[in-house]
Amino acid sequence: MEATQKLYDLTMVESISGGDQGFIKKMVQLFIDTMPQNVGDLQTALQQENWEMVGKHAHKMKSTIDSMGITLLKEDIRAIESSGKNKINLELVPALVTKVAETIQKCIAQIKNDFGL
Amino acid sequence: MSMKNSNNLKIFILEDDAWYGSMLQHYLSLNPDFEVKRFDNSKDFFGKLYEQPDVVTLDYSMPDMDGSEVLKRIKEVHPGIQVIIISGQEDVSTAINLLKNGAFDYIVKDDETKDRVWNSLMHLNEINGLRKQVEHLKEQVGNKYDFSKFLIGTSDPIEKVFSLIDKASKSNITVSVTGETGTGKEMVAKAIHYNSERHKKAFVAVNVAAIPRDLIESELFGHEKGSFTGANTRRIGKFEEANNGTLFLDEIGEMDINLQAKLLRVLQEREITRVGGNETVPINVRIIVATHRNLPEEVQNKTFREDLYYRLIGLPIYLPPLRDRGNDIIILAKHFMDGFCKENGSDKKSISSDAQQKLLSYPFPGNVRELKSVMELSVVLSDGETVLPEHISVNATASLNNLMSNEKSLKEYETQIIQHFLDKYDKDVLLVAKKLDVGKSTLYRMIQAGELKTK
Repeated sequence: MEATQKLYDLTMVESISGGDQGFIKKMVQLFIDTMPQNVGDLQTALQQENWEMVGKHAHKMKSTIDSMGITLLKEDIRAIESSGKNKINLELVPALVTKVAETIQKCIAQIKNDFGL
Repeated sequence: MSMKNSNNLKIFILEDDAWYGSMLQHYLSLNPDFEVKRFDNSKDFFGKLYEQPDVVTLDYSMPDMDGSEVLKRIKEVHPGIQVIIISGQEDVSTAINLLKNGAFDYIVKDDETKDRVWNSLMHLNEINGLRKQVEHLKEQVGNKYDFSKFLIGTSDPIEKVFSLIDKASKSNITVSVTGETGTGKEMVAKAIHYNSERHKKAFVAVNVAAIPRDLIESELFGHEKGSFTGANTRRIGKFEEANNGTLFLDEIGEMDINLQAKLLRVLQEREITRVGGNETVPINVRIIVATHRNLPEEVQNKTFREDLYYRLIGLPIYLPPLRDRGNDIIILAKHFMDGFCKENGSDKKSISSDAQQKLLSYPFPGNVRELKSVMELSVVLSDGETVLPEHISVNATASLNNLMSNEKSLKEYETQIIQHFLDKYDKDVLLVAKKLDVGKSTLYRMIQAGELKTK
């Protein structure tokens, strides 16, 4: 069941596209191109226990995750950001980062499939 | 309404997140009045800041420079640029500090960010519109003051011009102003506008000769977004800008023959169509044209359309060259000197009779504009309270070219010619005697008699 759950929702992107399908394609392609790098940066900062950078990378990813309608990660990415910034609940961060990385990976696979990319 | 259209906003987005930045750029670009550029790092952004956007949307958490620092640097270089901070943090104290330091708005990144940015920009656009209106009104007041400064004189030819300006101001008739360069054609156009019923509306001046041929159509009639490469936003043209006011087309004789046909159509139909657009926009504009060319001759040479010529000729006003305005030269010279002394906080100076004579004998090919420069320089060069001939820096050859303009006796001509050569050769009597093949004793005698000046 989990495998078929749609992880993203393009309602917001469509609403600002003005009906421009090219724009929607450009945005999903940009998501596919940039998100793995962002996830990689987040994982590296975690490995280095550079909590400030963990918070910053989570902050950067937050708005894209929200705008792409990835509701499953909405709270988690905020929790990582808050933990990194305030250096609290740090023991929870590794699991949250793993969840973010896996979900983004699945999300990209779904998008590629849906858009034939 | 037209005010709003004239307020295109140039927006720079500084956002390191390519996805979010692209989204915001696309969204804001949906407004045809917004011209949007995006930068993903501070270095590139500051490299283009000389383009002076109206507004910057700034991601507070840029990796290469703190948002507060970016704001500070923008305000240091261009305090007029408005900055909207977009931040992921709901931190009240940070927001207050940024607003205190000159940020226009502080918007927290969430689902509604794009709408909030949009609203903030619309608000800013309105403020910009009001500011431009104030600038326009200030300019009006300034212009009124200016033309009264320059259009002065009591000679018959200029009195005739004043009478025609008065007549033109009382109607909407098209006016064509002709005259040599520097005679004040634009001042006449402004005088007509600011004394007419249209004076509360815009006076828009376009120098046809100064705009590249391929841009003039868009400059006059405006263009729609995407109508050609580089048309990143809808732009209204000078005709729309001058709606209900006056459009002054300077150097109309330089207009491309193809565009002349379009101008003729606009004048006949009283409506324009923006380049790349289909919609016609009605216009109510008073037209004043000016040229230093002989338009009837241009019509004969087929470089100016005859039908357009007859539509534009309206009330012709000929501005006489300064050399034909007699004592106006002295009135204007004193006026320019007084103005310059006042501006520079120095005491007023007078002009010696010899210096006046020098001014009156010079043809002033650059007309009033040249006289102004000459008199301002004379004030700088003179140490005492009086401006002497040597402080009047005019082209001696040009002065001699005007030799025949005033009828003089042979003796007077002789004196003037010798004086010209003495001036030209640094008062070297022996050299001048040799050049003119006259005895040096003749020259010394004339100097002794006070007929020639050697100081």
